[in-house]
Amino acid sequence: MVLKKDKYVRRDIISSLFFILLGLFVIYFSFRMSIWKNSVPHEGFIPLVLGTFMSGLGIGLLVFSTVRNKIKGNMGDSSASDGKKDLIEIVKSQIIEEDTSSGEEKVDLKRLYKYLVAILLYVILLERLGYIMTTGLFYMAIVKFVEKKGYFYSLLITLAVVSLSFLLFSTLLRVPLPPGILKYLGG
Amino acid sequence: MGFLDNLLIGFSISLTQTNLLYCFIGVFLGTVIGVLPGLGPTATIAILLPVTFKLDITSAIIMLSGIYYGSQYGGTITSVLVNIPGEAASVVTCFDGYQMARKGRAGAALGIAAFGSFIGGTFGIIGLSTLTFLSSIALLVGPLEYSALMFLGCSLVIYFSSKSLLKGLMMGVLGFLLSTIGMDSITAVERFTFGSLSLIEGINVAILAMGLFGIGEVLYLAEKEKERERADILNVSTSFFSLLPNRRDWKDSSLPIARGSLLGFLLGILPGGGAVISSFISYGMEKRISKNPEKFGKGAIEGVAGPETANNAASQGAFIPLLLLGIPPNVVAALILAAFMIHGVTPGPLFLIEKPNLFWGIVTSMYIGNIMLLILNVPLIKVFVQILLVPYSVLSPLILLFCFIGAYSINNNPMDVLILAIFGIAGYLMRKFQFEPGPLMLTFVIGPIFEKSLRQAILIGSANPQIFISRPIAIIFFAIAMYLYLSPLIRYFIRKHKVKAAI
Repeated sequence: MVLKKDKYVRRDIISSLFFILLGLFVIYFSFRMSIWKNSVPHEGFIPLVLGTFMSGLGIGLLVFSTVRNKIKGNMGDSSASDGKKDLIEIVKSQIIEEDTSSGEEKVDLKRLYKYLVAILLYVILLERLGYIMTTGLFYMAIVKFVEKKGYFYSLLITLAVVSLSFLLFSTLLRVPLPPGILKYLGG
Repeated sequence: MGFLDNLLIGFSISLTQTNLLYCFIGVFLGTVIGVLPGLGPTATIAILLPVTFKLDITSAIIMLSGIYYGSQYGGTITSVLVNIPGEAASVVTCFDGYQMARKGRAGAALGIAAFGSFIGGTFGIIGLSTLTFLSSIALLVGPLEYSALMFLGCSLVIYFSSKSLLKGLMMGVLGFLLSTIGMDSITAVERFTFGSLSLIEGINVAILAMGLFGIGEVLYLAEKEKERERADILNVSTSFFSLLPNRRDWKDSSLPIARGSLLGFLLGILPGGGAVISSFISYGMEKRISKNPEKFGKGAIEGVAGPETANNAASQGAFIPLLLLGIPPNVVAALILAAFMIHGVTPGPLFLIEKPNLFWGIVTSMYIGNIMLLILNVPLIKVFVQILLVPYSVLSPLILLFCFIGAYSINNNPMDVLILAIFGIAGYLMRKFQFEPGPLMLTFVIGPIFEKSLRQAILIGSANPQIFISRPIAIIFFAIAMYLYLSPLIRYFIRKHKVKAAI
């Protein structure tokens, strides 16, 4: 019987593979450092131990996710033994707990992607355009185009946030914010 | 110097104009973020960490501590009036607080919660002021016991705070691993820097915290429809006089408040205990010993008074292991520890001897902070309720903005903003894949201290494994921690054995 993996199992398998690889990566680089010399642990000792643990835990998660998926498939099967049902209870309740509530919730991925793009643009433009311009554009874009508020409302909020945050950080807390293109205007 | 002398010195520090101002900012912000569901003390302290770089250490810690214990007050308001806990520790307050509000007794519920919080908080501070001898006991133990205690503390936090033990442990290991990036403190050799100059000093704790808790949370909420909807606020009287509990309320609440103070304080000291667990245990205990347990869930004032007192006593009790042993019992305390370390101070057994003024200044500021909270919370509840009306569309980009400026201000380097964004995406993915970032943050902060102690212990013992056997206290700590990790499997095998025996 081919078992269809639910989204939690799929995510667990992906994350377990990530952690296994990360652990192996850490182990590899630990061996390039000094681990133990003259009965003294050196800089590579703790990373080696942690990398080993990381891979081991990744394998553990992979095994439990697979076991959970298999037993879950058997749960609908009335012939599944009590022992197996018992095992899934343990795996589910003690090792990997599902967030069942989130399954019913509506998810708006579009809004998330828009936020990610806005963050990326902020990072790229901060030095080039300067704090005031970038923050103004960022805030306006989020409130108007991501959160879909009216033009007047978005503009008002943006102006308030930009001026108050500039006053707070630049004037009161003396954080040297990037001037960007405004430095040319100021000569 | 006597206890009273120490308190007087402490008050002379905490009552200065600057420290009073930062104490007020802390408790006010704490109440505000306590009111706002979705934004907790962890994210707020993370966002404010860069601001503390430029502050005097006493003012910085006074403010951050104020945010922590102030958030416990604020969380109650939404629990009672909206049936949504602003803070995890206020979940149980919804059970009876909201029912009281529906019966027109919101004032009494909010009032007793504020007074109970004040009494519990004050009890916790008195405990903190009088248990300073713990640091002298801690001085007697060696680096192996200290590392074992830290290991146990982290294990307890992971065990109690993670939905999944395995995933919590993975996050703990990852946090510890991230803390090894940079120059090794003993051999001065670079680890995992890959030639990058900006990584020599390691990952900045503020950037990591802001990314995981600030940006990560905003991104996670960005895709959620349900959490973004603003709930209806019950239209009830919150005038000053309606908030004063009557004689009957006081009679019903006095014993739950007394029990909540003691229980919360004791659980607050234990790593992993903290405000959330203490409020749940207090509720369960009050229900069990009540003569009318059927009243619980239908608007029993004892169900508000006990847990609200307990969570505040616990948040103050958490400062005992943090300040006297250098072991943060929860993630918020770990961030406060990070703020100490940013200023080159490491709390622990020597903290009271080396920095008595700082210690007593912080402790006495808590007395003042609690009084400020009582004054703020009783007459100004109506004002705080209005904060609930701030829409996420305004709040989310504001949090992002604070994180961006915070990250930039550390080194005036746009690269830090990029690193922040990467950690933010990592924080989002963690939530999506059901990994909690809390244990990661905790082990990231105490990882370097743990590593140093462990390596010192091995060095002292000349790498002889016998050192582990000859130290019974360390063995007990390690054994308890191992039991915690293996307990699901142990329980499974016991059950399996029992089933077999029955057949």
